[in-house]
Amino acid sequence: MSTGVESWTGNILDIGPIYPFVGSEVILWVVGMVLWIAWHIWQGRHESIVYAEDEQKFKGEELAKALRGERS
Amino acid sequence: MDTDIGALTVIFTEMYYWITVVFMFLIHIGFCMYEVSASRHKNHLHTLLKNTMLIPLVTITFFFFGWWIYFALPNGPGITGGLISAPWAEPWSELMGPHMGGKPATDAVTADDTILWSRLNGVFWAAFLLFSWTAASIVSGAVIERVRSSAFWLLAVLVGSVTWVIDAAWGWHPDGWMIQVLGYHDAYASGVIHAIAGGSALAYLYLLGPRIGKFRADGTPRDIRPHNPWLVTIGLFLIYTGFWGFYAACNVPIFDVDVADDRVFYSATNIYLGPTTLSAITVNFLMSLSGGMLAGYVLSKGDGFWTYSGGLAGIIAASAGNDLYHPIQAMIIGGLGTWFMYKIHYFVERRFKIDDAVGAVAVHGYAGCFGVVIAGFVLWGYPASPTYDAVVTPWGQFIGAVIMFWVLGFIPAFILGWICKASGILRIPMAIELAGLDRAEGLDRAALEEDIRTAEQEEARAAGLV
Repeated sequence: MSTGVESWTGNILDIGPIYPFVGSEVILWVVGMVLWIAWHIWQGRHESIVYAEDEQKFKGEELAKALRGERS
Repeated sequence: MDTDIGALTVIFTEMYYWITVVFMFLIHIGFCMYEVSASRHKNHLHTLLKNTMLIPLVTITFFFFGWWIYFALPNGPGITGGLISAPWAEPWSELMGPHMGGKPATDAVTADDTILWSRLNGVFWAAFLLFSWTAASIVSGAVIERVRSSAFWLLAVLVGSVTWVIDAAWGWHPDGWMIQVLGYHDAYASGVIHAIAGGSALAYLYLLGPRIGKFRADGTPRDIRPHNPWLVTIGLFLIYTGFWGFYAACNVPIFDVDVADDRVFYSATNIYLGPTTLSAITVNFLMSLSGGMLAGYVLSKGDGFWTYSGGLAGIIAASAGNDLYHPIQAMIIGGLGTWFMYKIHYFVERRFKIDDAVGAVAVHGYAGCFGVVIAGFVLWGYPASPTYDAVVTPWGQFIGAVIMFWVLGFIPAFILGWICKASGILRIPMAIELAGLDRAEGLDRAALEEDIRTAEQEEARAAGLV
């Protein structure tokens, strides 16, 4: 069982890629792209939720306190 | 790698770019310090995270598609040819991972590809990635204290991993169509990094509008000063320092520049493989920095912010031709570029109510465009590259500046920003902007510390200690 390189001996010129699971690169790229896009979606939703809550909080006297630099 | 001199050349080149990457990291540290110092206390952490998180986002997307764009699009495509095959830069290429340079694992790359790219692909990629961070980070400073992080991070990916890379393929590649057709010359990226970032920032600033309170009822601007001049100073000094790495990374350290078939002459070259020397660019870097600082000091009557920014603008204004200028030319161009950007900055601020919080559009955008155009006059008639017949001209450079600032800078960012604005995710809600982004996002350190102090006092009372 080996995930990649099995020996460093022999003809060095025969050694190409040295990372494990050579041949899985396209799958790795697809996984990476999905994770990247998912991150943006999660972050955008999270940001909207937080801002919606904060907009409810910072009204009237609470906002006036914040503008005066006072604690809630 | 089978001869001493061959191996030394490859490993020296690998080490050379590795060092530039470490130096360029300082640019990002400098930008973060600079931005935080320019923001108000209530917005510090939001400002810092907005800039910091572009690092992972631009890094992964530059791996996923940015690097391939640089090698695939020098022809446009459709201007001087089609898409160019670049199997070593495809994100699924075996040469994008650790590789010994021996026998290829697949037919996608050749044995020649593996020999050439196995040790250089990663450090070249990283050097270009650090340029990408810089381009995105320039935009970050301009839009502080009002842009939503989600909208900025989308722009960071657009600029850092798409648009600037397209302009690099067009105007900063030995075979780019702008070099072949326009004779475009921009050795240290006045246009390809700075002008495009400035144009992108201007688009977002236009759509965002100014910070609350920036302009009086009569339209005159208020000066929102940096809260911490020392951080501005250290930040800009770090950017200067990182800029050394940036300049070095724009060169190829060892290359045969004798185009005659029967001779060999090794020299450093610029990005177009035209000859220059590290000495030349080192002296010109310092002279253009000096010209900019001197001009910035005079223009602002000794204001620290604009003196330091003037130094940066001076370098940027001379960068297009700093591989070839005489040092005193570099100094004068640096000074003139600083004068130009300073005047335009205040004109645009008053006339169009653009609130550029750190002067990024001015220092990078206006000074960058100035640098591209002035190089067309000073280097008029120079060969744009050793490979093609086109020569540097004022009109070729002017068209190049328009492509950088407007076509690839302003317009794509405006479209993205317009979509974000229409979707309601461009600007922070007004109440939160007024309250402060750190307070609103639960990041108010003082409040948290007070909460902890209260808890400690309660615990102490409960234990009978007080």
